[in-house]
Amino acid sequence: MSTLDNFRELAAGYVDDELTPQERKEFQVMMDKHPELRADVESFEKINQLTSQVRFEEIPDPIWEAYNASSYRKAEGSIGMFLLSMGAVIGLLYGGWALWSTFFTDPSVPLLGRFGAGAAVIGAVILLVSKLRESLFARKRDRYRKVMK
Amino acid sequence: MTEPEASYTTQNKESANEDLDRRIVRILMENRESGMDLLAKTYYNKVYGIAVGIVGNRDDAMDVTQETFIRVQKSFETFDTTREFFPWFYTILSNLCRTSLTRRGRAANREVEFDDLQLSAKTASNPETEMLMKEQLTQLRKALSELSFDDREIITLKTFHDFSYDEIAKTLKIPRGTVMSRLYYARKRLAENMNITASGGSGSGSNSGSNKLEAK
Repeated sequence: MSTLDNFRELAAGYVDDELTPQERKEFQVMMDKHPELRADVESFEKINQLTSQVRFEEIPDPIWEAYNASSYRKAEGSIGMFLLSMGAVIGLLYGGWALWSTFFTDPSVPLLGRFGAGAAVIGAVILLVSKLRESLFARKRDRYRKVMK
Repeated sequence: MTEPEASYTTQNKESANEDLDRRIVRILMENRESGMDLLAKTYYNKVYGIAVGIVGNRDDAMDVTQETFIRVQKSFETFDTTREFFPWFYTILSNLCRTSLTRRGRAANREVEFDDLQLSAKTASNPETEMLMKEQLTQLRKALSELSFDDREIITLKTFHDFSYDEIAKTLKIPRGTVMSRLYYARKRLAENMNITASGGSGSGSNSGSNKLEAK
């Protein structure tokens, strides 16, 4: 790395007033010789000037309180959702098996009835999967979900 | 303020922070609940401020903030009490910020909104200036979102939280020279992203805005 490159990095310390008096003096001398060093300093000062006039909005206490309270609800909701999903899957599998063994394979039930019931079951499963997908994935990507509608 | 005065003030601030951290650690060792209360009182806003600077949006930053305190509570036993507290604490925060960005499919650190970055009230001296400032703010948000995690992290600590180089060095566990070097390159990239040049303005069509800024 050349000497100029070493001095270039001092530009950050120069604008932040983090150089020793000796480093500062040396940097100023180099800056007079190398306009690119001055250009770096000037662009950093512009950035500092802009950033000194902006700030991140703080979160008001009531929002934090609501958030913290909602965390418990979220945790409870997650546990509830997990148990409900697990129960639903087991219930559906068992129900499907029971339906198959007692209804769809029963020769006394007319074919049209079995076809109708089968279509209704498949339709319900598709709707359930669609709804689950929406609530699990799509909602997370909705940037405007907290906007009052 | 003269240089020795400024240095003395900075050292005083660092020393006060270290004293407070030692007190927090002592209380955490004696009574976890009281220690966590003091830790939250001392650092909740600061942690949120750093998190929002890195992850770029309020929801994720709030999640990261809460998770940071939960992790501290769970894993305080792993903290080596002979060492400084804040760097350990910050490592948890930084790792959670990384995880948050990765989890949201933002490993490349794109699509970070920075919507909560706003103009300070004092900047609105007249409507024209305010409009130009808003334009520059939009550019700044975009430019920040295009930075890498490491660049945004160091810019956040220095620019938005006024950490000294020594504090950044301790926090990130890197030498002071590396702090200067990383800040240099992070600012270079930020300036490039904003099209800021020494003689020109910032961004296309906003040279006048930059001039206004300089005139303030």
